[in-house]
Amino acid sequence: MDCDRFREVLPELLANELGASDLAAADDHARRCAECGRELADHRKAWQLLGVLDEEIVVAPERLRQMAAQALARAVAEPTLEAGASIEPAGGAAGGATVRVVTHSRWRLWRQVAAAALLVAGTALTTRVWIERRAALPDFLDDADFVQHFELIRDLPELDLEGDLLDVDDELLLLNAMRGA
Amino acid sequence: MQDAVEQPGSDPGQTWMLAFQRGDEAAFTALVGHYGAQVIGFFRRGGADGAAAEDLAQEAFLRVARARDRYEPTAKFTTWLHRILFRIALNDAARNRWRRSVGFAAPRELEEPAGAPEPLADATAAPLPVLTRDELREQVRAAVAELPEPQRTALLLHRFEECSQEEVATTLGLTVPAVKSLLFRARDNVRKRLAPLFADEVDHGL
Repeated sequence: MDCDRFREVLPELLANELGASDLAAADDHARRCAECGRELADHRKAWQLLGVLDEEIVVAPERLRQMAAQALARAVAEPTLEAGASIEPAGGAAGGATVRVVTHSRWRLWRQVAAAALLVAGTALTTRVWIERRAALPDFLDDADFVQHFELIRDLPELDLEGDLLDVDDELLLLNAMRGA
Repeated sequence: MQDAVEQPGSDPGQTWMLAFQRGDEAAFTALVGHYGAQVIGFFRRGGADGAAAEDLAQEAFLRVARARDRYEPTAKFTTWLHRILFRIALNDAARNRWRRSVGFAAPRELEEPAGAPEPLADATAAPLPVLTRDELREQVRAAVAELPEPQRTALLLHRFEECSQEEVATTLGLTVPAVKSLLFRARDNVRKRLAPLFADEVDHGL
């Protein structure tokens, strides 16, 4: 097995999905090739290092009950609840199953007004830019001769007379020369 | 009601969710109690700090609660829950919160205080510092946090939630070959990111 083939089978090797013969060949290659061997070793070390994240997460049951109560309250209040609304445990710090939803309707109104104003301003600005750009379209696009020349150049072979590849700049130079003529 | 809470059956999440659908709010509380730490852990491993992970978990359970009427037990509950976690991970606001809470620093940056002496002329000859387990955890967490979606979710589900490649594929809406490729790219990115920690002379006590 060579390095290219090793890299090809590496994903399967790491996923323990490699057949016996390929596995033996890959192991053999990893022993003989320092670079591939190191890459394989690093992959295994990285996988092992990920284990440090496998810590046990301990959350106080009371916190989880509070989380459930808040989720329920927000889900119930969904049609009228705003992003800026807050949810306060009705029973104070002790939490409990019931919560009080506090909404701020004045902010809601202002946000709607601001959003509408932004929408109008954005639309006006976009329209103006579009009109200005449209007006600035180059007039040579209406020039039948130019378009004909352009189509001629477009259909040119990709190699110039010296056998080099034509690139976009070459084509533009040619185009300008033809326009001048 | 109590039956659903105390005897959840083979797929407790599914049982609790169906009970919740019938109006049993205690079942929802039981569900959050059962899966809460797991969901917080998912976001912690993905790079969120404690408070951000709880916020994201709160958002996940809010989505579960909102989906009450639409829920259908067609798949394992955890597969359905993981789809929600994935959507949250994809959400821009959530992702920003997630990523903001960690930063990747090279091992030497952790070791050197301001005003530290100049490094040796041959830096490669200097031994890498041995990190404490907490520092190491932060480095690894940061490496995972830097992964693009859906690589990160795929890796988290496969490595820590014991999801098979098929389950990851179902969760992410991808084919199994696509998930295999995704997982390899995730592993490769983590490997590159953690490479500075792999010096032979460094023993991280693993």
